[in-house]
Amino acid sequence: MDQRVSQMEFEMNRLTDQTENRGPDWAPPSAPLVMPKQELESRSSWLELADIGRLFLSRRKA
Amino acid sequence: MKTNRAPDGITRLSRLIALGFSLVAAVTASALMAEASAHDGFGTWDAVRAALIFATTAWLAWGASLALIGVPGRQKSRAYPELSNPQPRTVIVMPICNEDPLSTFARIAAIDRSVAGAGVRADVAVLSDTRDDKAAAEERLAFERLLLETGGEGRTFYRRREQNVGRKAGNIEDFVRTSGSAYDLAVILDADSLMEGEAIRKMVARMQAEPDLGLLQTLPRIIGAHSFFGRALQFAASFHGPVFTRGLARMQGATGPFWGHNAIVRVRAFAESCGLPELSGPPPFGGHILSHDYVEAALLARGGWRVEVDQTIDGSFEEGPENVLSFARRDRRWCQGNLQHARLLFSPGFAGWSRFVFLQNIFAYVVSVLWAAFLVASFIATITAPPPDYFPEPHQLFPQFPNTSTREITMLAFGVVGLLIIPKLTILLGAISSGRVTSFGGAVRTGFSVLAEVLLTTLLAPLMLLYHTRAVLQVLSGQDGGWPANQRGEGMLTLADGWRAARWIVLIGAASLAAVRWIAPDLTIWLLPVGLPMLFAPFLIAWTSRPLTHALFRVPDESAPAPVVLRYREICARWSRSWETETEAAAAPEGAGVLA
Repeated sequence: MDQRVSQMEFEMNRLTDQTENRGPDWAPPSAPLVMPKQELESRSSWLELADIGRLFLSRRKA
Repeated sequence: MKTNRAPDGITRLSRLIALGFSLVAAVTASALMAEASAHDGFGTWDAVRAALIFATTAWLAWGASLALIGVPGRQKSRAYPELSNPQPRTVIVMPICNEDPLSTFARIAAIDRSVAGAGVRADVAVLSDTRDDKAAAEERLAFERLLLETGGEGRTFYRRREQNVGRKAGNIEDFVRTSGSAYDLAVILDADSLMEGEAIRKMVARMQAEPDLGLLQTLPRIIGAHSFFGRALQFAASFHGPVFTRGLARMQGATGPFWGHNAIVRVRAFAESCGLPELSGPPPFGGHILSHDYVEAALLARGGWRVEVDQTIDGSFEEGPENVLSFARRDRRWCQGNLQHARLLFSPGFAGWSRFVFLQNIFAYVVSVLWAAFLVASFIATITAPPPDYFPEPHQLFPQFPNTSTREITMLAFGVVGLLIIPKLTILLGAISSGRVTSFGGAVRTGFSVLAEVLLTTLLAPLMLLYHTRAVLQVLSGQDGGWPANQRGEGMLTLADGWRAARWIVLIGAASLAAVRWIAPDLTIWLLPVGLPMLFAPFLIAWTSRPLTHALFRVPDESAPAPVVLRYREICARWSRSWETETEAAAAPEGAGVLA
C-alpha cells in the first residue's frame, strides 16, 4: 500500500533506549510506531458499481 | 512486497471442489423442490422456496465441503524450523476488559512460566480497558501477584487506557502506536486464552523463518467445560475442529483467517496494514469495526502479507460458552460485526477471496433468515395451491389421484440431513482408522459422543435459527447491540431463566404448529422437528446448562491436561486462598491509597 512504513523508520525507532523510556507504573516501553489509517470506504468503488449499472441499463434501452 | 498473492494449486483446487460441490448440491435440492411443487402447478411461492432451498443448501454443502476437504492427508505435525538466535523481539499481548482479574492474571503467569521453560524470550503486556475503578484496582493487585510469581519486573507490563476508543482493536492499536517499535512479533491473546510455551516457540520460529508471513493463527481448543452444552461444544471443537480447520487452511491458503486471539502477528506488517478507520454513519453499520479480526486478516493480505492458520500447533486453548443463552449472546455480537462487513465488500484492493470471506460471514447469519423464510414460503405455497382435480377429463370414469410429492420431499430431507451428518461421520471413520479415537475414550464412546452431539445440535437448531433471525432483523432495523464484555464462567440456568429468555420462541412454535395443524394438516409432520424443540425451548436451555460427568463428550485434555493448564489451575487455586482477604483489605479506606 502507499502508506507503508519504511524499514528505516522502524530501525530509527528501535534506537530509542526502551528501558530508559519506560513510562511510570509498569507501562510498556515507549517506542512509537506509525500506524496509518487504512482506506476502506471508497466512494469511487460504489460509484463505479453504479456506473456499471447505469451502463447496463442504458445499453438495454438502446 | 507485492500486493495480493495469487493462490497456489492446492488452494485453487480446494476452492474449485468446494464451490462445485456446493453448486451441484444446491441445484439438486432446488430441482427436487421444483419437481415436488410441479404436481399441482408451479406457482410463485414454489419459485420462492426453490430459490430459498438453493441458497440454504449451498451454505450447508459449503460447510460439509470444508470438512470433506480436511479429512484426507497428513494428521501429524509438520516439521517446524528451529528458533535461532538472536530471537525476534516478542511480546505477549493480552487486551482485557472487565474480566475476572485473578483467573486472567493466573493464566498469564502460567503462560509466562511455560514460555520461559520453552526458551523463548518474550515480554508480556496486559492492556486493560476496564472501566470500573474498583475492578481496575483488583487488576493492579493481581498484577503485583503476577510480578511476584514470575519475577517479571521490567518485562511484564500493565497499562489501563483512559478511554476505550475502538474497543479491543483500538486497545491493540494504541499499544502498537506507543510501543510497537520495540517488538518484531506480538502474540495476541484473549483473557481466556492459554498457550503452551512450546506452541509459542513454534509460532515464533515460523515467523522468523518465513519473513513474508504476516500472521499465523492457531486453532484454540476449548477447555474447562462442565455443562452438557459446554462439553458438547468442547468435544466438537476438539474432535471435529481440527479437520474443519485443515479444510479451511487448504481452501484459504495464504489468505487465511484471524480469529482475534491465540495468534502471532508481525508488528511491522500489522502497523502498516491494519490501522482501522471508523466507518461513516451511525452503528450498527457505521462507527467502529466490530468484527475487526477478519478485516485485519484481509488488510494484511491486501498489503501482500501471508496470513495462515496452522491447526497442527498443539497447546492453544480457550474457554467456551457454558449454555445456550451465553452462546446466543455472543452470536448477537458476532452477527452485528459480520453484517457490518457488507460495508467492506467493495472496499478497494482486497483480494477476491477476502471479499468472499466477508460474504460468508454475512451469510452465516442471514442463512437463518432464509431458512425461516423457506418454512413460511412452504406454508403459503401449500395453502395457496389449487385443490386436487380427480376428474380432469370431461367423461372420465375413474378418478385420477394426484401424484404426491412425498418421494421428492423425502429425498430432499435426507439430502439436507446428510449434508449435516456425513461430514461428522466421515471424521469419525477417519479417527477410528487413524486411532485418534483412543484419546477420546475409544471408538464406542466417541461414536456415542458424536451421535449425542448431532442430536443436541439438531434439537437446538430451531432455537438458534430464531435467535439468529432476531439478531439479523435487529441489526437491519438499526438496533445497536454494542459489544458488551464476555460473561465468562456463567453456569447453570433454571427453568425460569429459560422461560424468560425463550418464551417468545415457545409462542412462535405453538402458533406455527397450531396454524399448520388447522390450515394445512398435511404439513404438520414436516414441521414437528422444528416446532417441538421451540415448544420445549425453556426446558432445553435449562437442561443443557446442567453439569455433565465425563462419561460423554470425553476429550484428551480431560484425561491428560496440558502442563500449562495444570500450572494455571495450581496458580489459580493458590492465589484464591488469600484473594478475598487481600481485595477486601485493599478496598478498605487505608488500602485505597495504595491502589489509587
